[in-house]
Amino acid sequence: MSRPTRSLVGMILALTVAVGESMLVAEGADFPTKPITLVVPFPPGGGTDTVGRPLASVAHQHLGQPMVVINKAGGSGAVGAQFVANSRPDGYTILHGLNALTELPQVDELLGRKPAFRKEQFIPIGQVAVTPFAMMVNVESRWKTFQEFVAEAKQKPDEFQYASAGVYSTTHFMWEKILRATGIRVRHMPTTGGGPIMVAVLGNHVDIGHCVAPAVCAPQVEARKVRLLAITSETRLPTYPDVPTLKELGYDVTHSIWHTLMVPAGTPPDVVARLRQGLKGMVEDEAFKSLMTKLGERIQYMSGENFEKYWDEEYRTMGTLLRQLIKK
Amino acid sequence: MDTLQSLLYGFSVSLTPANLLYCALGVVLGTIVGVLPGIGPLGGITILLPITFGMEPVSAIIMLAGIYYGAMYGGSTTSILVNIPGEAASVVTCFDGYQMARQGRAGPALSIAAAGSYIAGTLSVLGLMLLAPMLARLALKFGPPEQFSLMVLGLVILAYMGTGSVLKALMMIVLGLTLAMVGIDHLSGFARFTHGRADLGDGVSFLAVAMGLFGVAEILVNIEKTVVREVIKPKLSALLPTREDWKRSIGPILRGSGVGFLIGILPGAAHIISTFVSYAIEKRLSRHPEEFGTGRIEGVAGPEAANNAATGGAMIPFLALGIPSAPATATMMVALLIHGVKPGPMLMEQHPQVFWGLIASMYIGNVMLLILNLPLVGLFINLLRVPQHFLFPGILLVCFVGVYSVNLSGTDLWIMAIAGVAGYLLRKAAFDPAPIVLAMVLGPMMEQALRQGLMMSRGEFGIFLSRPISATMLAVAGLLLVGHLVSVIRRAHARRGTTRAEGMPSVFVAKGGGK
Repeated sequence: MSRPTRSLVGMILALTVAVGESMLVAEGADFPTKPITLVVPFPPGGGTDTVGRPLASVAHQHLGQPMVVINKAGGSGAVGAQFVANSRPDGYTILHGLNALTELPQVDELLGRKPAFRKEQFIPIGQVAVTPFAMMVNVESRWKTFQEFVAEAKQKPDEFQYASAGVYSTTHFMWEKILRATGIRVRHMPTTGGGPIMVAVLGNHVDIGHCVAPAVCAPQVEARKVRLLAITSETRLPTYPDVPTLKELGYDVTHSIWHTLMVPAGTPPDVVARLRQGLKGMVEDEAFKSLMTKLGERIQYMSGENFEKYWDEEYRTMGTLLRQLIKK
Repeated sequence: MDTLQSLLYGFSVSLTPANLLYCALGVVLGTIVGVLPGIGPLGGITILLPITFGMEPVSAIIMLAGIYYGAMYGGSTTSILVNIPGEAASVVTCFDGYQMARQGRAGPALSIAAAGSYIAGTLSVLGLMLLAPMLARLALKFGPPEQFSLMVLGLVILAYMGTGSVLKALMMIVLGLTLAMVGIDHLSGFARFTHGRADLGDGVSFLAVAMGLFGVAEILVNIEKTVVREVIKPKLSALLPTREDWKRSIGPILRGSGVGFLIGILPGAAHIISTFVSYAIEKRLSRHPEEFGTGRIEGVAGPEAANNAATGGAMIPFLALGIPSAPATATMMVALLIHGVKPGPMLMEQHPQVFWGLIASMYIGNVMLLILNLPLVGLFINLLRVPQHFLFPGILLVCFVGVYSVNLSGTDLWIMAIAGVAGYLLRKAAFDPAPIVLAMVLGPMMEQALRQGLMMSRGEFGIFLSRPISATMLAVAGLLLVGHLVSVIRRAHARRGTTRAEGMPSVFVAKGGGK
C-alpha cells in the first residue's frame, strides 16, 4: 500500500469512528447535538417541498442545529412515512407528514393490503401550514360559477370529467366528498399530480379540475387562463376575496392539505417537548413568514397536543368515507 | 427588433460580475453531477436551492438553470470512456461512443459531444427565445391520446435502432415493459407485483437497472480478460475530431438539435426519448446503417446534441406556462416562487429581467461549458490509463453511491446488482440491453396515456384516430412497420431468387415443398 493510499484509508477510518461516536453522544440529554433530518415523502419541487424547505432554513436559530431536507418519494408518500416510522426514535429523523398519513393506512386495510405504516407509529410535533384547493375551469368554459357547473352536471350525469392527482390520492377523496355533498355524478380521470391537472384543464382534456390555492393557481389566474369557481377552505382566501368557499355555497365540504411534523412513536418525551418548543419558534420566525407569504402558502400553526385530537377526529371521519367508497 | 433589444437588456442583466459568477458556478456543478453516474441535475439543483433563498431571483435561476443544462454536457463523458451513462439521457451515447473509445478515438468522441452540445444548446436557447409562447400552446394540445401515439411511435423507432436482430430488440422491449409494470398503478391504486413491499410501490428503479445493465455488467464482462491497454500519450491532434469527423457530424448535430428541442417541449422523459429518436434518424439516413454501434461518430453527435436541445425545449412549458414537466424544472420553479416571481404566461411582462436575464445567461453558459469541457477531454482521457484493478472498484463504488443517493434505498442497490448479472448474461447471449432501459421509461407513460385516453372517450378507441396529431403519429408508426416488413420480405425473396439460381434449394423452398 502506498503512502497516500494508506493515509486516505486512515482518514476514512477516523471519519467513521467520529461519526459513530457522535451517534452515541446523541442519545444524551442536550438534544439536539447534531443536524436533524427532515424527510419529505415527495420528490423535490412538489407542494410539500415548498413548505418543508423554507421551514428547514430557519431551524438552526430555534433548535441550535441545522435541519437537512431529504426527499424520500414513492407510493403517494408511503415510502417516506414508512422510513421514518421505522427509524430510530431519537428525534433526529422527522417526517413532513401530510393527509396521506390518514388515508393510506386505511385504504391499505380496506383493500386487504398490509399497511406500510400505522397512525400509532407517529407522534405529532405540530402543524405548520394548511393548503386549501380551488376548483378551476378553463377560462373559455361556459361555467361562470360553481352553481352553474353543479346545475348542468345534475342534468347530465356522467357527462363531464374531472381530473384528480391519482386514485386514492387526497384530491380524489376531496372530489368524492364534493360529489356526495352536491349529489352530482362526474367521471374521474386520475393523473399524476398538479402539473398534469393544469395541462388537462388548460388543454380542455377535462371539464374541471383543481389547483393548490393560491400558489399553483396564481400565475394562470393572473394570465386569465383559468377561472376559479370555489375554494375548499373554511373561509375565503385573502388572495381571492371574490371566490366563495364551498361552505358558503351550501355544501358542507372543506378539504385542505395539512403540513405536520411527525417523529416516530417511542421518542423520549423531553425530546418531543424540545422539538415542539422549537417548531413554535420556527413558525413564528419572520424570515419563515416572509418566505411563506411569497410562496402563497398559509401558516396555520397548531400545537402537537391539539393536532393529536384533531387527527383522531379526522381519522374517524375519513375512515367512514373510505369504507363507503371502497366497499361499494 | 424588439427581441433584439430585450436580449441586449438580458445581457446587461446577466453580464454583471455576480451573475457571471453564479452562471459559472452553475455550469461547473452541472458538469460535475453530469459526469458522476447516478447523481443527476435534480440532485444538484435541490442541494443548492436553500442557498438561493437569499439571492436575487434572476441570479438564483441563472445558477440553477446552469446546473440543469450543464449536466447534459457531463453525461456523455462516462458513457464514452467506460460505457456507463453519467445521466439517463446518455444511454444511447454508450453505443458508438464507447466503441470509439476502444478504438482509441475517445478524444474525438468527447470533443464532438462537447461541440455538438454547444451548438444544440445555443440553438435551443434561440428557439426558446423566439418561439416560446407559440410552442407552449402546442404542448397543451398534447392530451393523453397524443401522448399515447407518441409513445407508440417511440417504441417502433426503438425496435428499429437496435444494432442487431430486430427480434431480439423486441424481446428486450417486452422485458422492459414487463419490468415497468411493477409498482402501484396510478389509475386504479392497485399494487402490481410488489409482493407487499412499499419500496417497490414506485416500481423498479429505472436508474438502478440502467446502472446495473451498463455499469456493473461492463465490469463483469471485462474482468474475464486481462487487457493490457496500450496507452498512447495522446497528442492534441489525436484528441480533436478530424475534418472528416466534422463533415459527418454536422448534419446529425443540426437534426439532433431540432428533434431534441421539439421533444423537449413535451411532458415526460423528453431528454431520454430525444436521444434515441435522434440515433434512429441518423441510422436511417446513414449510408452505412450496419456500422452503427461499431463506433460511428454520428451516433455520438446526434444524441448528444438532442439531449442538450431538449433542455431548452423543457424550459418552455415551465417559463411560458408555469407548468414544470419534470422534477428538475419544478424545483427551479420553487426557486422563483420563493422570490415572488411566478413563471407562466405573464413572466415576460411582469419580470422581464428574469426572463431575458436567464435567456442571455444561457448563451453565456453554453460558451462557458464549451471552454470548460474541451480542456477536460484531455484530462478525462487519462482515466483510461488507470489500471483496471483500480478503475473497476472505483467505478463500482461510484455506481453504488450514485444509485443509493437518489432514493436512499437499499432495495435499489439489490436491483442494480441483479441487473448487473442479468446484463452480463444478456451480453453473453448477444442481446443489446438498451431497449430494456428505454422501454422501462416509455412503458408507464404509454399505459397511463392509453387508459386516460380511453377514459376521455368512454372506451372508444376511435379517439386515437380522430384527433389529427395523434392520427398522424400513428400513421407514421404504421408506415415504419409496413416499410420494415416490405424490406424483410423483399430480402427474403432476393435470397430465395439467388439460391434458386444457384440450383440449390433454400430452406424456405424446402419447407414450402414439405407442405
